[in-house]
Amino acid sequence: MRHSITKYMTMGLLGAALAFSSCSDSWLDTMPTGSASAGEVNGNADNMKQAINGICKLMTMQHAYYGQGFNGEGTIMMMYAEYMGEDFYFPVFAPGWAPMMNGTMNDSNTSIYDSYPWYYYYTIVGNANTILANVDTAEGDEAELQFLKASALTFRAFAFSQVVQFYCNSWANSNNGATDGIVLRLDESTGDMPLSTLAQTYEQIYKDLDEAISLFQASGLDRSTVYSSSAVCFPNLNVAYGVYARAALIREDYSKASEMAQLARNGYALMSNADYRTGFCNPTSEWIWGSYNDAAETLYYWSYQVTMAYNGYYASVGYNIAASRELIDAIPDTDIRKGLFLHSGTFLEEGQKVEDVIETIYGSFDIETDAGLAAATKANNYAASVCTYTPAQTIEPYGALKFAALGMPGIGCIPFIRSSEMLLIEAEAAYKTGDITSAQNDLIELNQTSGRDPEYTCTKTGEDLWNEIILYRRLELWGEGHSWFDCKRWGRPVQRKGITEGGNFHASIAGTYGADPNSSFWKWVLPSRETDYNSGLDMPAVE
Amino acid sequence: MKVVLKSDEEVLDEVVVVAYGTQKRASITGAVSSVSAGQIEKRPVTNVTSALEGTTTGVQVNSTYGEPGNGSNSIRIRGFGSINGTNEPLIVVDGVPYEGSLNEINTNDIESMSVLKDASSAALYGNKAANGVILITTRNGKGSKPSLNLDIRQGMYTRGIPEYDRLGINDWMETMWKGYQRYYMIDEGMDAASAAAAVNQTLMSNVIKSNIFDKGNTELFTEDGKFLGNVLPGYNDLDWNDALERTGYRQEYNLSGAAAGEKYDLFASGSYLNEKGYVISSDFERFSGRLKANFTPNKWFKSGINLSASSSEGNYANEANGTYYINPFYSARMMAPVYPYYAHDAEGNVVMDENGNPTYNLGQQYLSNRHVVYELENDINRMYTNTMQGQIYATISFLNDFQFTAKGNLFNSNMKQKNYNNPVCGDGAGNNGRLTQYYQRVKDYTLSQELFWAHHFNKHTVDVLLAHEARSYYESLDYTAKANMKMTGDNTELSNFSETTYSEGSTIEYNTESYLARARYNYDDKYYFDASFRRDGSSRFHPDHRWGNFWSVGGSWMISKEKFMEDVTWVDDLKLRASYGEVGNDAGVDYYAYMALYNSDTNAGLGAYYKNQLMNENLKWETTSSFDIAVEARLFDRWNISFDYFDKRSRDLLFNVYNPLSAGATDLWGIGSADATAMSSMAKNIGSVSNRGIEIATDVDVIRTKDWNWNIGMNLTWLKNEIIELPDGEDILNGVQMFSEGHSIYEFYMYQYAGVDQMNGRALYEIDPTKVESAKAAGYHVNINGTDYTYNTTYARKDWSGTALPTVYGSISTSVSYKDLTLSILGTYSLGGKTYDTTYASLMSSSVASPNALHTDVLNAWQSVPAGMTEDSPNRVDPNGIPRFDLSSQDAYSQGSCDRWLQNSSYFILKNINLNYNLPKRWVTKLGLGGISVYGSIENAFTITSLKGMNPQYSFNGTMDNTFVTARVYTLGVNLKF
Repeated sequence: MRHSITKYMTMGLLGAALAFSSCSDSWLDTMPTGSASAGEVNGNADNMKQAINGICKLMTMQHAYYGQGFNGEGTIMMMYAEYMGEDFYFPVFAPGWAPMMNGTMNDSNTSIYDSYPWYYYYTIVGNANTILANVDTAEGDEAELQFLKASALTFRAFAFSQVVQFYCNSWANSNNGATDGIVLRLDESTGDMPLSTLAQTYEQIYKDLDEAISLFQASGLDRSTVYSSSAVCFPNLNVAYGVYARAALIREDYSKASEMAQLARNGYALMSNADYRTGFCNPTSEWIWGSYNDAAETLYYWSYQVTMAYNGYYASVGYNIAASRELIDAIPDTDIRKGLFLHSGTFLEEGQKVEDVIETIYGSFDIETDAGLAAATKANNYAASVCTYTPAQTIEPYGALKFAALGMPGIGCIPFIRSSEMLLIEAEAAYKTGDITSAQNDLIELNQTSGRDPEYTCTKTGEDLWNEIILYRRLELWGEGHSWFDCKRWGRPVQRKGITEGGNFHASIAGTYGADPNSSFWKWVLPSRETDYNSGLDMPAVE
Repeated sequence: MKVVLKSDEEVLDEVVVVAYGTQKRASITGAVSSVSAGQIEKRPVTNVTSALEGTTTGVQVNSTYGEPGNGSNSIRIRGFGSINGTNEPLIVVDGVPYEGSLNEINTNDIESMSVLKDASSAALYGNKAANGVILITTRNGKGSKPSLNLDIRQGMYTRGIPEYDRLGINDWMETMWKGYQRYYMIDEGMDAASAAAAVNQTLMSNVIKSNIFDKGNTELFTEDGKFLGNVLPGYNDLDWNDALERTGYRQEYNLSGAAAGEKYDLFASGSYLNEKGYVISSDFERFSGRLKANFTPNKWFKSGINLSASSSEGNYANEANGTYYINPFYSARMMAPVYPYYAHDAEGNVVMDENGNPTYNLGQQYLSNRHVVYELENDINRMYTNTMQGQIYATISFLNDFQFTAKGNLFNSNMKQKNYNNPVCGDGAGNNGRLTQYYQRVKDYTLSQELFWAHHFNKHTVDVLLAHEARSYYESLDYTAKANMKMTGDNTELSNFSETTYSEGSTIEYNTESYLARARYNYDDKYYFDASFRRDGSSRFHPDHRWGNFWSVGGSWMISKEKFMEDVTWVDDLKLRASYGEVGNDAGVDYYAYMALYNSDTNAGLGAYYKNQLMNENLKWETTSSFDIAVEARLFDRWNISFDYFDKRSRDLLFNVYNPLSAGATDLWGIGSADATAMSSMAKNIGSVSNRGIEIATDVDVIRTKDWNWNIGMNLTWLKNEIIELPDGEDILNGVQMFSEGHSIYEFYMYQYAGVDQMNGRALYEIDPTKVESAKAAGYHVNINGTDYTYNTTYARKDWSGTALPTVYGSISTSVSYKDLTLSILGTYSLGGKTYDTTYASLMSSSVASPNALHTDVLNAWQSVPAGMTEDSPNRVDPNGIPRFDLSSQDAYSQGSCDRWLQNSSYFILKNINLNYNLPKRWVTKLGLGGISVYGSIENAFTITSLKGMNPQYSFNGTMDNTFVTARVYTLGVNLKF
């Protein structure tokens, strides 16, 4: 008995001693595999490169909270600059989207539409700030790190200059920048911060871009070497110039805008007429900056081309987009760009008027009538003959054939900055500084020398020349996300003519918007997602 | 000692499974309820926790049983402690936390369930016990001779809650006519007559777009809007529920055997379950088995194994929620009554295919080119799950009073989910068909070592438990998506798709380590005392803050055993107990919550990283302290009653605190399983919430004779939930609700509906006094008899509008038996609380772009200015009125989100009726059997609510969705004991 007790005891204690030994220290240290730690990402140039690419991704990905259709920069371009602009028409969506298109959401500080630009651009800023906070201590090739720092600065400046356009007064309406600017967050802070003035905001944008340009130059690198990829989505020296040109134009700093625009398009020759017809979904010679996309990185139904492409998903189910009839009618038939729209020459028979073939609600071809059906058929035949990809059937006169998708439901790259835009900036800047000849020559270079309209000449001056610059900017950059921004800069109300007035817009969105420059149509209210959590906004602007 | 007749209610002699052991009910110092196998058997449930509904106090169960194979019951024990994190209790199966789906556990294998409601009883599961614990214990072999049990059940499965009342064709057409007339009058500025003429010209061709009538598009109405059309014969396919619903079927077969001897016990079972839901494309099939054995070869050693496995597969409705086109509930409910699901020719005849089958109505703009029936029939959403769980233990007894146990548990589950979208219609159409496959592998293991010492001397009984436990949860997830189907047809496997559109995979690893101790003391079975302590580490927190300490103390006093009670003969048992303790919770934050993280993505074929989580190294355990005091009694040898008071307080709540958006959003994809907020957020420990309440449970044997027995029971829980502290004391808006100190966590804070302006039929809201001027400027202001109102919620005032939480909930049950026949009935109820019924709201208006079904209440809406009404009439505002139905741009403002949409959530559900007959012993014995019983039951016989169609059990927070409602299940069964 004695013996067995000892045995039991020994066994028990042995077991206990073994078993009660704790786990090793690392037992509770676990690491994720679907994400990476900030330390790893920011530790060296190779990884930090992928954080720059992360910002590129932010510009073209599904933004889940906001829902289908919110894809980064494409949403800004389409839903803000085009829906609210003067030249874009989406017949099927017009009644439902009228509140957005007519600017009645701008005052609603809890709406997702109000917060999206703020959210999206400050997400870019937040990521750029973390790179900037770490790049000086990261390991790696000095030149590469300079290039990455310059890239982050370019992103930040770009984001700031875009935020300004939504939530601040236009420069013309700012008393030389004395009105409210934006929150200039330059570090990784997460707390309260007051607004800067508009002038201070532009100072910061300029400062970032000056630094970015000198760093890009000092690095001696271009994106093709840094990323071993020729993708146009990465910032480089030309992108910094282009962003600078835009910011300076909006700030009405015309000499700077002109100088930067010329530098930006250096090396990015205007594309050929053949390239012009390839659907703006693949980079051409003149894409300075754009997004990257392919089938393996599809955004499904969220992408820009789902709506914009003539062979995208919406077009395939009969929801086609169109341009303002007024704009297209103003362009000579010799212009290949006019041919990217189903203008009246593509569907009318001799002696017919547009009114003979359309119905009066949406302005679509009235296919219940023989004439309307014939016009639609003719237009579709025309589309099939000029498009690179097979276009979906459409019943919309003035339907757009500019954008194509590389695959369904809307795969494709998006152009952000093209040389044509830079030329138009030069023309605008030249006109504003009184250099009429240069302005004329810029238009000729864009329209005639390029071959887009071989017949084009320009001898206009004064108001006529100004209107000519506006007209060709509207045409050249149609659908690329400029209209509302341009009108705001120009102090030009958005006018959409209804069907009964010779235009083609549905009654729900026809009319004049933003006639008063102080109207909320031109300025989105600061979103509650900022104001609710930032008591710094109650403080006066920083002096 | 009195002989207590069998009763389902808790009796103090009963042995109850508690944390790390069993205990006599009399000795328990905390709040523990238990549910026996007998109570579970009455319910035709696939997920055993459904059987908790109505059987114990303090427990709320929202059983979304309407969908076969859906294992996600929502359970709340004593309220809602966490604002941000989970409020779901911990599920423990045979002593080990269980993360799998409860659908994979055969309910017939279950011996009992215990619900640990307070800190004292749950403290030994301290690191996860903040929301209470449900202990599930499987059967062991017992009895002196081997037994075999065969149970067969067959049942029918129907929809348990009816559809909302919706307008028929004529009323709907006339309502749309009127609404469209108002569009022309308001938006186009026409007078009534020309508006009417315009409506007759355009309503069918531009808005409704589906002329199923015997008249032309412009001849359907008189000039004052009376509908003249008749539906053409052939349109018998207008109620989409006809095509989507069916009578489902449920069958279950169970065979189990048990044997026990002096030195061993064995239990084995096998089962097959097949459920077909009441909606097409929803079914579930499962095979499961279990083998449990314990061996005691000698005095000092005991060992056992417990193995179970299951294999299941089933079709499920992939997007049966929200406003997805393929949500059958949303689509059928909102479908305008004039849209057919079959294609028809010009004469109205259904178009047949070459095989003579009707063809679906595809490619219609009024259906947005979608077709829920076609898509559900042609898409595949299927889940395949295999699980295996094994447990092994060994116990060594030594030195008389000591026991040492080492235990290992491994749970393994492999799941594949297949989502195929056909190339013809729906989400796959844009990609010429697409297929997404999702693979999940879970490995969850626990190793523990326990040292137990128990000693009995004189009238003292003491026991002490020391233990160490380590647990690891590992999960790997892989997704692959391909598009562009190569050959159309039945081949829906990956090789038949040519384009890879997504391919990602990652893992989760979550580890914990714990040390625990418990001491119990009892003097003369009269005074009981226990205390426990637990120290836990979690990998979710930074090394400097990952350990938390939790503890409890409790005592109970068997008053009825005192000398002075000896003469009080009508008191059989009387017990007073009280406890206090603190338990923790780390589930409020994600697995790697303390780290600064970047999301891993791809752009231009290269790695792309963007921030998705900010660092917080100070994050620590959320703690819930709870106090519980209770009296339990049995009186007159027939009346059981218990009364509990509890006060639970959760502090250091794990909260995602928002930064200004200008800090840069990090939550782009949602943290854990939560939806993305697109905010800059940081997890912090801030805030506290209290839950106080009273629980009363009672049952009485009204009749107890040789042949007759009748028992009536009821229980109720009164609960008060209150937020005590928030970050900086500031209110946090949460959709239509607001978190605010002094209010419950689910309290509505909404615009205030003031009624209908009877001069124009528009909705009036109480105006925000600071917005009067801007409302005037925008044209949304009106002053009626000296009071300012607004027509647009943008200018309206928000105010507290009631809580979603019920004041009282509970159940009533009764059971009557005559000889071998037993009838039992269970009803559950909930009183008080409100539901924001967005489904009802969406049936109260329509749009021009996509007309939808309308609720019959639209007929009671304002039609015209009442006779004699003027601008100054004192009764110009009708506070209970329904604003006019219209299709103009003003309508959106009249249907604004406001307290008008709050419905009373009170309900009564006749949860279960069960009739059981045990065949007389003498017949059975002749057949050589141990027993035969036959039974029938109805689960969810009916639901009474304030609004027909509303599912009051959809959520605890007062929200509503278009989704599965409770199923009514009719079951017939037979049980043979060999």
